[in-house]
Amino acid sequence: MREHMDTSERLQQVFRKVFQKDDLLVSASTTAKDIRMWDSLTHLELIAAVEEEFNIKFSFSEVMQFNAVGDMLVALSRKSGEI
Amino acid sequence: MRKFAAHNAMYIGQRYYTYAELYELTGRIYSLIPQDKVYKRIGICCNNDIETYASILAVSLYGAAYVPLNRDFPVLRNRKIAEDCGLELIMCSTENDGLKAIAGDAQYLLTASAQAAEGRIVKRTDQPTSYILFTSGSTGEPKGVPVSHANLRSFFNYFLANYDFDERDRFLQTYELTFDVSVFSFFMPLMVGACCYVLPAEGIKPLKIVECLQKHTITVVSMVPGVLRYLDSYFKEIVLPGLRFSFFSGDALYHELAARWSGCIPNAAIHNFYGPTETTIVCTRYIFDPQGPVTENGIVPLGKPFEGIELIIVNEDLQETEKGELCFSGTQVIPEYLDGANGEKFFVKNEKRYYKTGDLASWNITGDLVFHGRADSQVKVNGYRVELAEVENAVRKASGSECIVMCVQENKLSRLVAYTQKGMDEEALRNRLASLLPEYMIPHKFIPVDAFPLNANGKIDRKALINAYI
Repeated sequence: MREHMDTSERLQQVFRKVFQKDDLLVSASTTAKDIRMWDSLTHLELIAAVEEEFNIKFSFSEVMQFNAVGDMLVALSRKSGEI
Repeated sequence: MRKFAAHNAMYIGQRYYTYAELYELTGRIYSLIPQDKVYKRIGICCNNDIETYASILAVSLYGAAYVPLNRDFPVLRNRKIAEDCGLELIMCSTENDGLKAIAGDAQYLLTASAQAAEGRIVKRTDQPTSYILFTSGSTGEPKGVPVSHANLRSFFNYFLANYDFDERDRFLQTYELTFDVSVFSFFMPLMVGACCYVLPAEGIKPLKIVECLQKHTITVVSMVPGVLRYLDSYFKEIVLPGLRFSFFSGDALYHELAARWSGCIPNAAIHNFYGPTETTIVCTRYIFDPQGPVTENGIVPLGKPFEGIELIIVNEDLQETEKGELCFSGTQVIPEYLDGANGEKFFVKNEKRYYKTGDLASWNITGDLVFHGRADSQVKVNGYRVELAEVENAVRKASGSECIVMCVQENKLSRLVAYTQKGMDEEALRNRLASLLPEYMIPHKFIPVDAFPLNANGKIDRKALINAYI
């Protein structure tokens, strides 16, 4: 099942799990402003959950660039060698 | 300001403002204040812009007390603050939906449109109060804390006497203006001709702090310890050789964490400060040594009191004891609460008036104060002081049923958890709470319970609740 999901779908599942909202929809332009509970504490949880889901570790300079979901997708693509 | 006219005073919104520009803008905003009457207190609905900071200066030079209002707080909360302070005038840089509702019958001024002004800035009144901040109240309502000019003078005299800040320093202002350490981060650089860099409001705060520290080669920064807990796993990638002073206050700072942080800031001193809003920002200091002794509970000591501050540690009968509640007397202790309800928190002993902090402490062998937690149900969330009773009161109001709120540690960070009766619509409850409480006071988790366990006195048994549901 998981193999058939693309990166953005998997990322959406992580967001739904972290924010405990089964119908949460995120796009590349979604930022912390768009999700009420996306504060600095949840951001930390989110990064940890994304790292676990994709079995990777973000560097601090990568984390600093995460202003929108799209930035996370770019970093994930780079990590998986797609870019 | 004249001496440093051409120096940069502030960096905000991606541009610098010299002292001359800041003073000119302050004059323009000052000239907007109606001349037909005298205002003792003026509200400032805060935005993260130069007009807001210039408004604080304008109100201070006018001689009134400024009352900061956080635009992200619920309108009802700001309205209550405006009413409690009897505000007749509120300033804001821009029009916003909530402003009219907050102002009520009070007049409001939009400062972004202030035109070039003629005439000098003169003091129109001489109020003893410098600013009024509101803290979480155990009675369920926010509590007004008026800080006097005399309190503030004593506070700044300590820093002027003990630090070598000068016009070459670059301070980072990381706090909301309703948080009292902002008074230090904004006024201190201006007092020595330095530049105050204001953290952008957008983005994830701890990350933005590091970005600003690096980008602007900041030399002095004050933060809450929660920022370090957040950054801990990235310390190996952070190096800040330009930092001279790394100040902490607002929550317990742990030795191991501070020691690891010291590796990121090879040229900086770490100073741990302590003090509730009622004792004017901070009133004790400990100079941290990464190689120094670690306290039993691992928390960095609170240190020694500032000059002009006296303290005693008392038991429940207000008798001095080795380990007990920390109480302060002296030049930084506020005269009284806004509502005058001082009874429980102030007392006189040996002809001195003391403020009871609610914090438990003792002295260690080096003569430094050591923190042992709270004597009541006040907690710290991200450095914010939160009375659990106030949150519980709001949840009860919003849900119409019983609720118990506790503070738990998750990922080394503090979070509020609310136990509510089963069957509650969490989304609807969150929406109602958003109109009553600031975001940081809204519980992160709501745990539905079948029934609240009671103790022998018929009160809800908090310990039993934790055991049953965690």
